[in-house]
Amino acid sequence: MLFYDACFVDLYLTIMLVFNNVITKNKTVTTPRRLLAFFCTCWLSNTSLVLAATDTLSLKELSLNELSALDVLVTSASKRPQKLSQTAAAMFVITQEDIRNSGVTTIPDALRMAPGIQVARIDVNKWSVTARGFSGRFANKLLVMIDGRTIYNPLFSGTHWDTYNAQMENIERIEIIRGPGAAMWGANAVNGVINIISKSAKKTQGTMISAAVGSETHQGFLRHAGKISDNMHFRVYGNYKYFDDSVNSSDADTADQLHLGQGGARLEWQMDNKNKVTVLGDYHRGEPGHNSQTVPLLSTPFSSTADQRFDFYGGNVNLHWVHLLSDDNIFDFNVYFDSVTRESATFSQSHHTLDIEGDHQFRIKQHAINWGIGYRVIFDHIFGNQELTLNPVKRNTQNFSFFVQDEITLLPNTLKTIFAIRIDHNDYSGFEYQPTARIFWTPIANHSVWAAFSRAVRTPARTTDIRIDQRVIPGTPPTLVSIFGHSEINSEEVFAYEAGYNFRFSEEVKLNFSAFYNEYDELRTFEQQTPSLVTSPSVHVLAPLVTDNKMQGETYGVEISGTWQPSKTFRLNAAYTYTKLNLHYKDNSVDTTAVNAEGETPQQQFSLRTDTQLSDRWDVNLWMRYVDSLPAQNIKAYITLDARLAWRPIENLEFSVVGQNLINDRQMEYSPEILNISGSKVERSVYGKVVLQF
Amino acid sequence: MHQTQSLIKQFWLFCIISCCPLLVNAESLINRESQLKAIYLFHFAELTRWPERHQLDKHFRICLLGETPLSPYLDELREESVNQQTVLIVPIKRLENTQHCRIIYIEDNELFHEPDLDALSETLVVGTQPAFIEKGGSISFNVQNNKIKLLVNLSKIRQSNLDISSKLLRIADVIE
Repeated sequence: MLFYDACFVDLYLTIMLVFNNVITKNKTVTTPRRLLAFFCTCWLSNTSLVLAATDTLSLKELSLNELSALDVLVTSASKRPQKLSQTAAAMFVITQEDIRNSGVTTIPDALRMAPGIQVARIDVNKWSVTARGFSGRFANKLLVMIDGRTIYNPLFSGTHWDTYNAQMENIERIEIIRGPGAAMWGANAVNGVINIISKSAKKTQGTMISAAVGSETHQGFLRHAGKISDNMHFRVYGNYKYFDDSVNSSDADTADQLHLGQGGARLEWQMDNKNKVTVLGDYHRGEPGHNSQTVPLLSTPFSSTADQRFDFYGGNVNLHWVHLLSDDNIFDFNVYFDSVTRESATFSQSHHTLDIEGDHQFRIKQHAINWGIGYRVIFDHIFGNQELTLNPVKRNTQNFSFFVQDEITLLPNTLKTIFAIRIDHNDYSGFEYQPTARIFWTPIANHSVWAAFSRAVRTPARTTDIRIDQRVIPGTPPTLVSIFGHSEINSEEVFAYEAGYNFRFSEEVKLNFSAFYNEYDELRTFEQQTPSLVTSPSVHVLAPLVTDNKMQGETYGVEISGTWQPSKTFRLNAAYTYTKLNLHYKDNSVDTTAVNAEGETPQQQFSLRTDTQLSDRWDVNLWMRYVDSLPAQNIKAYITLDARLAWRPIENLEFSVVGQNLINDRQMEYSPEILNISGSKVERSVYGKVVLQF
Repeated sequence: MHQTQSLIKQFWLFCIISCCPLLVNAESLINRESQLKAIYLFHFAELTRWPERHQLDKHFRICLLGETPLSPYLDELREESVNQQTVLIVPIKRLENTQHCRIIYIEDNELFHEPDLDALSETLVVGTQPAFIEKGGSISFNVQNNKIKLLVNLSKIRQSNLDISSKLLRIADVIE
């Protein structure tokens, strides 16, 4: 008990000091010292090792010595990692096998497999990815992480999907949690969390070479993983990808091609029975083409349209340390530094993020407690000299966070409740609290139900400092319509009610059912303000649209996913999603466009995948998808089909041919918002691929 | 709005009604003993060297003789690979045509029907209870002081043309 006391006293003092400092903006050296003292106390209080996780896969990672020390009789299951069927949330997992069988070459494409996720390609290098509605290129209610690192663009608190070029072969699995996951995972997890987890170096020993050539893409990939000693493994990899440009809505060629190159390394060191350290990093570079962007001008012809080219480059280093203190007592420490720069002839954005998190899991009787603290600082420099400008150009923003989760086992393996809360302090909206309460009940083996109630917020981002010149209405003088951020803007908030039912009829048939009802408030609107006459740089009327929080809404929906595997050689996966948004203005809003989000989310989506092993050497995979219409964008419902045929003539060598979007010649999926960029169509394509492993 | 609320009410009603008749039972306790044994089988696979021709096989087959509580845990591990071979879990009914099995796990009660373990070559024969070793098994699991202890019959393993890592021998009781 001495350990807990020491930690808690320290934690208490640390939080008090952190909060004091935040409130008074008094930056002293006390906080870091206090934090250090806290970590040291925890470190020194460690005792012997026994493992908390009861998951078979996690236990398998133990050494023989650890395994032989484990007790045979255990009366209750621990908290994390959990089996999919034991999660009190709407969760879906995309495995490496799913990724390989589907033939997808990008992460957004892989996410199309998941129910409750709306994915649409805007052009070759831009995507709209969201969960449970509110689509858009600048969709901002989804938290995306790669190996514990938040891939987050602090300008609009969304994701630039072209930048994150995770190599598909390196992914172990993608976990998708629909619904608010903020209490556990962090900021922005309003409608969902996507957690991309890479394979360990230990599991990918050897060399892999792959190359793909096709009508729309060329790719090459090299990976080598080796062993330095019995408890130290490493991996290095590099890739190059090219995606060909497409055509716009009137079938004219566009300039939205994408070149990507990325390399990285990973080192895993099992120091001893108690400590495991993983260090990983990537460097990436890319050139996305920018489709005919329309920029407003104050003189005739009042707008100019031009293709642009962006460059982006950046890198990250991530250190992850797991320390086992004692029985059911795990300390997890994660720190990363991430730097990304995007620039074009008229715009440049760079941000550097340092994130430090500590997380501690332990158990007292039937309580499995997990708590943690985090600190994130972002240094940015965003400079635009055309339609998009920020004031100030440079800004440093900080976020402090604290979370605690208590999972209470009321009846072992039958009934558990989970209470969790996260408290953040950010520079835009101050303190935010995000609680969740969940209940999980397994009345009989293989059947379980769960229900949850949560509150989550989407905090304002750097867009509070933005100005975007949208368009010019010709006249004398001309009228310039510009969007302005607003420093007093509030967080968007949601109250979410969710429930789910998981059945496992047998090993062959598994079904997951979830339903949600979300109540949103303080949603972002653009409010027209009184126009004024401006004389610089030339005389014009400025019609400002200022961001505000004058929209409410309810969304509801149902997601069903199932697997049927009658034999080892055949598997069928199906997923159905129904999503409905009802949005309404409040407080005399004069916005006319924000409610369009209702018609920008497909109401129904359906996906059917079959994986057939014809023999030891031949595989056939088919994937059919239906996506409902987007009335607000005049996009009709469509069906697509992807197919893959793979052949393994010898061990470790695979040839495959993949056809994508086979039904329609070309299909528009989404038109981008806010910035005047024309989208492009997704074309029918085919590629051949060879993978060699030795 | 009104329609939505009634939809939600109906959904809750559905959940409650469908759950009421189900009796609470706490049957699904994790059987840690079987879980650990299943994991040990994977370690055996990694730490044993088979004759070279078997190392080139695409699959590594672990055969299970008889109904065994290890099955659900082995199922959880079935996507795993060992030394770049995909592991297949194969239930078998008799010790006939077992040449494709690299490991055979024999559940206790099956042992009486299959007395002749000596004939099995190039296969690691794993069972429970010390008596299993006397009947010609390679490795047996024994529970002592709430922990799993391994008993390894080294001479039998060498007779079967197998070689076992010293890592494994270090944590086991060895019979020469």
